[in-house]
Amino acid sequence: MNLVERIIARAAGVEAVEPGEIVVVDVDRVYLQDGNTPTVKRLFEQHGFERVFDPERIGVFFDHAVLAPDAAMAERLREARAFAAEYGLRVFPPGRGISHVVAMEEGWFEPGGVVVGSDSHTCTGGALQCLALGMGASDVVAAMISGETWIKVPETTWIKIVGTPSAVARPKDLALAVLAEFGSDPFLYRAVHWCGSSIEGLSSDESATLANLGVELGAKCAFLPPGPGREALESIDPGADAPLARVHLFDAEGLPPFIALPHLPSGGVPLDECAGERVDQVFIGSCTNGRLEDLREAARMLRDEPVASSVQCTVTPGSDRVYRQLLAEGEIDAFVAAGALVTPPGCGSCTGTQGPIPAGGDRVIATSSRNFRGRMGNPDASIFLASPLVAARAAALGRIPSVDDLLLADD
Amino acid sequence: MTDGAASVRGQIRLVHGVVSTDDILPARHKHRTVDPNEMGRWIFEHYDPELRSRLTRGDGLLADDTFGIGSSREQAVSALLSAGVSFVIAPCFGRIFFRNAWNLGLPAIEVDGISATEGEIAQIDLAAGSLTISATRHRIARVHPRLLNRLQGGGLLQVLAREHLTAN
Repeated sequence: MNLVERIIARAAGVEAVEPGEIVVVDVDRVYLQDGNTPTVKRLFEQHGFERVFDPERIGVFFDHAVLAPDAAMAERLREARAFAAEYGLRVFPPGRGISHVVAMEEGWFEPGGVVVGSDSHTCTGGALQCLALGMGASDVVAAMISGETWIKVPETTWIKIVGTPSAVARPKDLALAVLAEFGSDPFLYRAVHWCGSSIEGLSSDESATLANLGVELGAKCAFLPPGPGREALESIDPGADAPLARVHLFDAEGLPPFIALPHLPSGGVPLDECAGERVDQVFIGSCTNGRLEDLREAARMLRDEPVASSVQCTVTPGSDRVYRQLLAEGEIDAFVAAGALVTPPGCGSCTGTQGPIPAGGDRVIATSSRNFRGRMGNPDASIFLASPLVAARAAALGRIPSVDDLLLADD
Repeated sequence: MTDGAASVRGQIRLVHGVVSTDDILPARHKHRTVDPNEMGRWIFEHYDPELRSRLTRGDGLLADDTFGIGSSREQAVSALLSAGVSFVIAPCFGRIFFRNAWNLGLPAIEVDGISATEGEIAQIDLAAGSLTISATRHRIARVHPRLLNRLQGGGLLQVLAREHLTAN
């Protein structure tokens, strides 16, 4: 058995499992976010459920609508609070941060464990080799009540990176490039295992970005190998027995930064293909790229050259811990001095449930994970996805930077 | 689909390209309300607002690419159901959408290479594994008994509620 099969077998209390088999597994943790909690509450009421398996192991995160944008959402947030209080669930209030970022900080993603979250980017837990699964409200309710969930044992695939990416390429670029090259077909429903020399030894923040984008690949989960602070994780290697069709080799030698064109994350192209195009808004944050290392790099760029007068640049730390660390180190000061807008920790403007919302015709560079039409609240805006490095440089230049722009700034 | 049924029938409405759950229901609607009927008014708001007005109760969707990628929002399924959609046929589905669909009683039929014109009638026999469009019969994978049981039992939570009542 490989990594994902061992995790599932242990959680199911059986000796072995095989791909395609459906098993019931014990769940270690369940977490909800503010946008789905009111629906979870409605489902509890509708079906007459009155107990949860363990309130201490269930978290409610207020991250999608940190600053309630209207009365209707404010009412839903109050319902979510009331529900959490009624069942004694762990509350992570507005400003605490994004569920997936905080869950990692809090040690909720235990290696080898099983976590169910009401948000698709729960797969971020794969950075710590936790089988963390995003699910819909009914599945989440079932897990909250029973402490169990059913899963189909996934087929396994490997993404093996060979070669060394360029000095200005980041894990975000790697994920966008892999998605652009292979599409989601080879990964759909599967357990993705990242491996290769440039993946081994990635930091936790970098690994979290790759695990997080597993859902954009279509995967059920995405696991990363050990790295600093994560030495005890299992090494990942397809080995000699892996079916060749399941090992996707990607040559990343000299890989430039990638940028996903509107309106699909799979629309990635090398940065220079659209360098020079106008940029009106920049969003730096999200569960994909709102961690300490991401924002440190963005701050470094904006220290050199402030935000262009034609651009609105918004920075949203992924958690209060990230925010306070950046305050202590001076990066928040650098952002504000550079003319960026720093908002409270949370999902920021990733999904259009709180501002800033782009205007029609706006061209937005975002470090988040999705650029579907209307994603940030306006179907007439165009969203490009990129790394924090590219986004911060774009904010300063008022246009999409070229690779040379990044190299010069990096000197 | 009514309880106990193992077949579904309806007029086909065509959807093109990759469809995300943001395309099906933009996030702000599911943050504003928990009422599926209210959400049903906003399906395909940005993707194709006209599609919503073409739908009549019992219609099904036939997609030519991956359907339901992205966000985990189950409301994408409950909004489709409340708008009267009774099945979705696609070459493949976003994994969370697929689970949500069967959990709520919306048959999500994964089958490649199906073409049809808008308004043709599709008849799906879930137990036998067949899809008939006009007079042409296509084989589809048989639905896993677990999913079929859930569908016939009124959805995941209804089944679970009954189990809990029995256990208590």
